[in-house]
Amino acid sequence: MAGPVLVWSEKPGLAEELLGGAAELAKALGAGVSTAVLAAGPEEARAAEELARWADEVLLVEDPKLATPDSSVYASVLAELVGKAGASVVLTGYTLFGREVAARLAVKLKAPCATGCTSLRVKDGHLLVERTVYAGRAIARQALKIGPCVVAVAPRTFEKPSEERGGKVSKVEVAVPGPRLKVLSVKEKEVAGVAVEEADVIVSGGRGVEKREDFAMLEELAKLLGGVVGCSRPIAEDRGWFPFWIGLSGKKVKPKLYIAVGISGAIQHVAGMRDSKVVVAINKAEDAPIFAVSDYYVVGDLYQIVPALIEALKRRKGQA
Amino acid sequence: MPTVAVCVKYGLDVEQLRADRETGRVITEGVPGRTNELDKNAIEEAVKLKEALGWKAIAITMGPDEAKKALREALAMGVDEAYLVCDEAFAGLDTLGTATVLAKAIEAAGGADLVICGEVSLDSFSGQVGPKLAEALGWPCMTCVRRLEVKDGRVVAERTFEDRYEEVEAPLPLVVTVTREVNTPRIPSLMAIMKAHKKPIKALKAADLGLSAEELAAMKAHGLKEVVMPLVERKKVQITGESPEEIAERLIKALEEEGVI
Repeated sequence: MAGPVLVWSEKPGLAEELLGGAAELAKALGAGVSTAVLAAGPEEARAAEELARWADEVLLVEDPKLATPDSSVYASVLAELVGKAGASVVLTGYTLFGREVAARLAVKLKAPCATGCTSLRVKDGHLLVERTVYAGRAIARQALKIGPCVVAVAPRTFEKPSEERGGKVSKVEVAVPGPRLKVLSVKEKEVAGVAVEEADVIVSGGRGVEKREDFAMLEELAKLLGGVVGCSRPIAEDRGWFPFWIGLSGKKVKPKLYIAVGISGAIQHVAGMRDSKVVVAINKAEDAPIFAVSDYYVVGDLYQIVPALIEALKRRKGQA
Repeated sequence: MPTVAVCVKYGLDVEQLRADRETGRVITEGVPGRTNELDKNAIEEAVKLKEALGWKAIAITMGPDEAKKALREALAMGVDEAYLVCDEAFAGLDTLGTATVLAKAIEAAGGADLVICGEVSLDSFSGQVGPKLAEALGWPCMTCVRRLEVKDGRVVAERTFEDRYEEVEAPLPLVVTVTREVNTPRIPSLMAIMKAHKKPIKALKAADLGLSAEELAAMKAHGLKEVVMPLVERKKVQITGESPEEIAERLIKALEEEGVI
């Protein structure tokens, strides 16, 4: 019998999703489901009780040294847990930190590793995974030999588990090396209201939107359409106007309607909205690449077109 | 002299990929290569360190002879030395293999105090080589760095995660991976490009790194089944009109017909 599928993510919500997937994989392997909780203190350790419902066993390591997100420390602890549990498959969450830990862990285990996977299934002693490559333009199908292999799984790949397993929490003593990184300060990114991944309509702004205040206009358009506002990476990371962005390295969305306002259409951005049902682009540059991936496009000044759209929609709603 | 090593990938120009109409399989033959975009940010950061602190900056790439192009770019941007790690035995290595080879190459090039890589390569997008290189070297690493400072043998950096920015400190040696916000890569002058063409590129082979054929064979990426491109056809209809109002009306009508509003 194969060793258990071991789940770990620093985000308890994501760990729960992974347990949903782990249950399916474990069934195909005839194996159990375990989850690791690496906690810096009692508060984080509480996640262990919650996750125990969906696992046969929770391996809890509690050590204040885990307060520092140092991947060498996390990978070292997880490598010990994989060894103790005899895990055949390790699933980590595909967050930026989860990806880093997965990579280091795979070196320690000399195990095959794939990151950003959006589909996983078992076949002939291998894990068949799908992941996005070539800047989001293509999907690679890969087979990883089980025993163990490490996979960083993209959020929303799996549904949360439905079958309770009622496992127990085992506190495990392992040597936790001292972190070499020291966190000096943390600045939280503001959390957005409606999850952009869930929205039916997204009005997304890019570099063509000149001032932060101008997003109010996009917000109004989005509201009239029952949607939410998004943006491209430069708006979030260069200008700091948004806590997240849509793109290859950011959120992946597939709304019914995606309206790209003042977004040129760099391949990295397109990777995040490629699966939208209908794409509209508004850009004043006649040769903007976004037009090639749009259903409808307007060559024009967003400062004229967006207000005109708002007025027209208001008229239809009998508000004007 | 302290040394900063930057690892560069000469990958595929993903914008020029095509797919077979019938099978959807990606055709990579004949697709030109290109220096990975984020690696230019990594080179820029290394050259800035050289300029500010007088460090030696070296660039390393593993790949075929064509990958020299990435090294020429690095030399033109200002690195002091360039190493092409090239051997038939390296063909088809996975990320562990790549990281192992790069770690040995850094040693063979005289060692480094700081290694800088791009956060991911646009083509394979695994994000694994930086942290795996750190593991192979036995060093800590900081991924996703958007601001980097080196002083008194320590690195202070700002990292970006999904929900927060973190200011972190670590002693050298260290592996850092950078995002595109860390700097704006310089565009070298024609003179610098011409000079870079005259500078030597040092070659490193498997034998120079002390890696045996058996060791390398165990690190080949053998699991790849296929790469397909989902075909999404867009209508690409331009909406025009005499005035913004007319354009707005026509666009809304089109979207109503699509049933999306």
